[in-house]
Amino acid sequence: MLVLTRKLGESIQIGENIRCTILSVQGRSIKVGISAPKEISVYRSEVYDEVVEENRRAVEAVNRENLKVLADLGFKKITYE
Amino acid sequence: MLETVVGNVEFEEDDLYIFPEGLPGFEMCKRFLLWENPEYLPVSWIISAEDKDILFPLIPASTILKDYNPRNSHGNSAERVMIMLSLSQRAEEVTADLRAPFLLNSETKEGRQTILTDSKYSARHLVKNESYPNE
Repeated sequence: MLVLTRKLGESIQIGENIRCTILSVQGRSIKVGISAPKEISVYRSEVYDEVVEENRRAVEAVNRENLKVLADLGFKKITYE
Repeated sequence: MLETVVGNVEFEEDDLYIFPEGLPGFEMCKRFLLWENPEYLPVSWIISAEDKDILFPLIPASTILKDYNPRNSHGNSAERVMIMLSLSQRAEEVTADLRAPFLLNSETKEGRQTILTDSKYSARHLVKNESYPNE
């Protein structure tokens, strides 16, 4: 991992389009401003990690035994377009 | 053709949705097929073209919640809002991840999974309680 020391108000450039700026430091909390193109997703890591976990769980849950449950969910048949 | 647990799936390259950012947890997978098997509708399946074992069910958000409208959606009519299901042996344990919907644009064939930071949506929403009764 690259480790950089920054002072308040200083920033880090990542690639051509992403800049992270240290906006404030209060005790153990640091406020970071992130400028990035809107197609770049920016999330708190723990939020992203939870989605990773849910996605893996959903993939692991697809097996023949569990497929039978779909008939019991009571979804109304719908059609597109 | 992909031989998957939900059936044999034939597709052409044009059918694939491209996920430019990949999928959280499966970042290497960028090409996915949205496959609808009449047997399972309204549930459809998103299947990785790179790894046929990476697949899971998606359901139109409107099937679960009537007023679900993630802010991150572009509101484009070509864009479907789909929700991932986690299956289980018991219907009462099947959950829907309302916090991380899939946005699939059928015109651009671009897809992404977005994360809603609005805490009113649960990552493990119990499906059985909310779904409409069979008609």
